[in-house]
Amino acid sequence: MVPLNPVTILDISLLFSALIGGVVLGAIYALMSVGLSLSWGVFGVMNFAHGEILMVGAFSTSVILGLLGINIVFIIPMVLGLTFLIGFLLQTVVIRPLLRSGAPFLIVTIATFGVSLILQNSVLTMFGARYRQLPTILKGAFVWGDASISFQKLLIIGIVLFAFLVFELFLTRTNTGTAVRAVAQDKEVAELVGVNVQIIFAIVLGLASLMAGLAGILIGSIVWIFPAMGTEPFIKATLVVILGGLGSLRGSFVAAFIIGLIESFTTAILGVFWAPTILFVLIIAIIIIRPSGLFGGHNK
Amino acid sequence: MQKQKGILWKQIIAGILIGLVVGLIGGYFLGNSMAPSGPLFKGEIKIGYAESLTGSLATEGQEGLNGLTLAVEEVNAAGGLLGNKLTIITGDTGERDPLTVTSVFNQLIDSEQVDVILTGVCSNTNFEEQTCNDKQMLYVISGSSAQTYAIIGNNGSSYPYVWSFAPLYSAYYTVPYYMDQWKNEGFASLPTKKVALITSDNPYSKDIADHLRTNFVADNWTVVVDETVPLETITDWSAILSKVRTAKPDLIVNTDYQYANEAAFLSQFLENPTNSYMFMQYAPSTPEFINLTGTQANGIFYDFPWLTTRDVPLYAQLEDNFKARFGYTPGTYGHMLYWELYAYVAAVKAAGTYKDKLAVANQIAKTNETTSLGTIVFDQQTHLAEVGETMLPPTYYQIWNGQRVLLNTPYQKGNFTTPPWFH
Repeated sequence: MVPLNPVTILDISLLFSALIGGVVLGAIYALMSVGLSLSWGVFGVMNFAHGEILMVGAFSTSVILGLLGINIVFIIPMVLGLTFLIGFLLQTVVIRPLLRSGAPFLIVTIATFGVSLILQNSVLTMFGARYRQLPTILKGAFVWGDASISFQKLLIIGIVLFAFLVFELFLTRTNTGTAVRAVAQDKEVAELVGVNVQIIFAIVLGLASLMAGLAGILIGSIVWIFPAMGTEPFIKATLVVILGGLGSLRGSFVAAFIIGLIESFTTAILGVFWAPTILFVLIIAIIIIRPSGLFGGHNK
Repeated sequence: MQKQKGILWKQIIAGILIGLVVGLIGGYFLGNSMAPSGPLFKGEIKIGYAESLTGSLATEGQEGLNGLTLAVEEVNAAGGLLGNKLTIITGDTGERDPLTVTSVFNQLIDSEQVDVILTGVCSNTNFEEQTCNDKQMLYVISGSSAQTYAIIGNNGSSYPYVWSFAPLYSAYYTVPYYMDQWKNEGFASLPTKKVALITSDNPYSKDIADHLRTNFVADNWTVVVDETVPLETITDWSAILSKVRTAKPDLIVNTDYQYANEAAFLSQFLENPTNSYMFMQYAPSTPEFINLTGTQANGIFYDFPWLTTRDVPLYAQLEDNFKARFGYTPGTYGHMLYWELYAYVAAVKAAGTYKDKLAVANQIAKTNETTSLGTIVFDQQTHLAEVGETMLPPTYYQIWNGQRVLLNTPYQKGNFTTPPWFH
């Protein structure tokens, strides 16, 4: 039994660290979970390969960087294109035929799990199990008293907020985005008014994978890259999606920051060992009170 | 109903096709790795290898497999063992949860009927040692000696099949005394004797942290930060580091053995460092930690129960051979599995048979093997490797520019030095 380790003095540096740490965690969880929530909201499948697509995003950045030796900024668009393509193909080659054949959603979900195993073990076979790291774009750290945050993490918060802004504009200001929202609300009606639902499905999984790929690049620049690196973010993203409400994008966004901040403040106040316990207790309590999650059933 | 049947058949056929493709790909790689070559053999000796070959712990598992492969290739090229070809049968213990480990050992022992099982370390508690002993399966392990000691104790005669290349970890608990020694020699400054102790929730790390805590307190140190993190990837150390920065200890001790976590801890500490020496458990001994941290690791120190220096000719030779064969420099487990295999080979030759596992185990007990990491001699009560100047000498190292600088005789390369982050 690990003893509770409460801080005896309310240390402002500690709380500042917790706040910044929580926001960084929340930003990464948001990026991971919104794609997952999007694919659930649009075609009702939990994509178990989401974490491995994150890993592929990070690994392919590392590999391209090694091959071309150019600045990582120029590699990011290539990798986002690649992860979009993986998502597009996953929908077209694996999910679509299964859904067409009338396979139950459980079978489709298991198929995505199979894809995750193939991706993870392919990377393990090709590149080995050794850890790597991506270079940071910004060096140095902002220091305030006993607290500090690297400029790279501040950049990550900025990139995530920018990515969400672009994504929101895509969904609300473009014809394809409108079609995505239409399919999410009612597939049959969308199909009746001429929307090519299958293409939208593929675009949605492509976009979800693109977001995962971006998350992989960002995570790979502050921690490490290895073939199993997608597992833990996927679990966290699943928690976020459940807490936010299955299929609710804004719910996922808000829930990601809630979870990030809970983890961070629990770590600061009680100790890191208690963070998962407190997190799960709170999530269970919220789900008991609101079974459809914080934003479930209201907001797609 | 007809339609559902049709769908079911389609799914079954699709499943079979996917299985065939995966099987063919797997078979291709497996077949390549096991393709017969060289001399003719009269039979086969199955070497079981249980380790994490996939997942977050796969680095050491793969490295150990490569060390084992190197030794097996050498033995087979020299005509095999008693005229038999050695074949490696792997079992992937993944994230080392007890169910997976149990399943792997059942598979290796009951289905594959291997002749010996070798490992670096493949579970968190070494509980599989009991399984192997109960099933009369020869088992050689190289890690988590405190857990082996918890099972065997001083009752070695009841565990004839289990032997560990790892010595008792008592040398790991000596950090406070070495700090005192370096202070008295003028190499370290300890104005407050405050220590921050961070560990991970696993038996290996906790055992070492518990002993260190006791020894620090006995040596008049004050433990100002005492944190336990879960056994998982820790992305963000900022809250713990904030506590450390507030406490400003003379020494930070982190016994979370996962090198990715320790590298992240160091990297985030250096964003706003305090005048604290930093001791890390195990991770700095791995090439991965050095690769990830680069010059950031300058000044980090650690202790280790094995000699890991190229000043030992066998060490340099094996490191070079390993790199030539696999393209990278091995850590400890690459060496360990190589020598475990040779210990088994020597024991089989001495016993004149590989089929009588007890006879082979009795020969393993007599091992006196000069390896790249020191000389392996087993304590007959604990079945652990013995510690000593002429066997496995306790060693302290400090990292400087990617090199491990040995701080003890007989291969001492330098003195304890203040890290560059002190201001």
